[in-house]
Amino acid sequence: MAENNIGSDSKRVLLKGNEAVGEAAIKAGCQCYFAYPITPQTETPEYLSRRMETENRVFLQAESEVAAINMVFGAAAAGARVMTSSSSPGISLKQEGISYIAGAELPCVIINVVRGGPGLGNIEASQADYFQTTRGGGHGDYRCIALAPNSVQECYDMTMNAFDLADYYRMPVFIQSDGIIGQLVEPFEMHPYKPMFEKLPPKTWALTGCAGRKPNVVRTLYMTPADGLEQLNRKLEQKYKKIQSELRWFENYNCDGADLIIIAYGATSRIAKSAIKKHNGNGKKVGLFRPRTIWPWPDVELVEIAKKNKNVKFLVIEMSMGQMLEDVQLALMDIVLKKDILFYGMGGGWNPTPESIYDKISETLKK
Amino acid sequence: MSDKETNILIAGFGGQGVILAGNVLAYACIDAGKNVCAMASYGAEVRGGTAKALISISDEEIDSPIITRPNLAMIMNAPSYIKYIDTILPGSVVIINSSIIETSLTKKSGLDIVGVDATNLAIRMGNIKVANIIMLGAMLKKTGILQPQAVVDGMKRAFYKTKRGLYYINESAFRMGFELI
Repeated sequence: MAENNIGSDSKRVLLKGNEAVGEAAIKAGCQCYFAYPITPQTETPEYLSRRMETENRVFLQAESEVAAINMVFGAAAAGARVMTSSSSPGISLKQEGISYIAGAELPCVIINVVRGGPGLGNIEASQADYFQTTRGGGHGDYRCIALAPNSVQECYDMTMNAFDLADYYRMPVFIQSDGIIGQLVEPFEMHPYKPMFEKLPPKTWALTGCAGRKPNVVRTLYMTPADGLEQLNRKLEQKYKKIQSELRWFENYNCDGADLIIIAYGATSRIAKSAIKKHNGNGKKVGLFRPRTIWPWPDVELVEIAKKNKNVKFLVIEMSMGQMLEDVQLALMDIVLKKDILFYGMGGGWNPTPESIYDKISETLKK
Repeated sequence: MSDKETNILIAGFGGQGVILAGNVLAYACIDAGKNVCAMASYGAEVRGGTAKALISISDEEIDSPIITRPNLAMIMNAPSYIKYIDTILPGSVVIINSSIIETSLTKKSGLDIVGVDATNLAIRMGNIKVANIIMLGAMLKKTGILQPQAVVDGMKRAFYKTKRGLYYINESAFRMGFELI
């Protein structure tokens, strides 16, 4: 649908989530894009194969996901704004490279349009890569910022934000989408690039040719104690703590005074919101707490809400067997009994329906 | 899921323009100032396989992109009819392609089933592929969910820049379908 929208005078433009990601990358000044096709994210490379060419930038369909992420590593080291995208099995293949990029403290944007797993799984929407994304994913102590859009507008806005956050903190930033959000077609406002920061730190570390200056070195191998791998780990830890204090995005829908709070992100949060609006709660109030960043997790905000609402119950809904559930339990461990944190979900490409969540709300409120 | 939403199922076999019809509706909603959210089946679908598109239209914010019980449908072939007819909410309008769906199949009570001889009409127009837009015209007239001009504008968006020749035949197909009802 892409070419019908470009240059449209309408403020509202119609694109798929995956295409909006591509257009946001263009607007944010992404100079290089390396990827390999996989359902359900292939619209992003399809879109960028046209747009990157007309913008005279680098589009390269690599021979594999492993090659693509190492191209990202190289372009990031050279100081470029760079992006790759894939879906679950492809993201698993990229993990070695992502660990290297995190270790070398380089900025890049990675899109994961999650599908059913484990293994090749299926091509249906899933959220079962939550652990992988929020716990680093590859080897070593590292984290990646992960933004979780639940609309085409957020696919667009968050992809722009991801480039800024990657440059600001010098690290990989994930857009954790899913097969529903990636395939969704809806109107959104295709506004010009809105930078998140007034000024980004100059890339003085980049490998840009060292004539007339001291050479920069980008590496992840530290063989001797004197090389300072421990110091690097401490430095990364400090950085992650800083991000945890600065970046916790969430949506609070009706949580104040709620008897039941549903916690869900991505496509699941929209299905849940539909059910909440339909449900009158039989005199009880139902709210939705939606993490918009899944790492860092907005734990402080959830704790504040939990402290205000006495006897509130929580229902975590995920398209997985219960992964974010553990972050909710960790966040609330000092103030909410584990039995008051309920779970509804399934792996393997399953998705809840507004009706099934509606029934789950009724069942939970009766208890 | 909201009662104010029109949740439309379009189904047929791959190649009949199921997804395209959904896209035209979505474009039309932009011009009509309505909210719209469309999901098409993806992945293993091939020409001749089953394809479906689900489109929610509303004046209010649309939350769930998942529709389990459509309240309006446009069904283009028999396998889709058999597969989806029981998911449609009672009382809904169902536009069927009577050229290739046996009328003996369509005795379903509780639904307002409207037959459109779409494939035959499209062949007579000179392009079998516009059967989808003929049905869309009939659906619009029958339900009034959008102004016909919005759909014509939607088709301009869908075809005009890249496939101008297709715009004209689709516009004629739409008007023909609209006048059938």
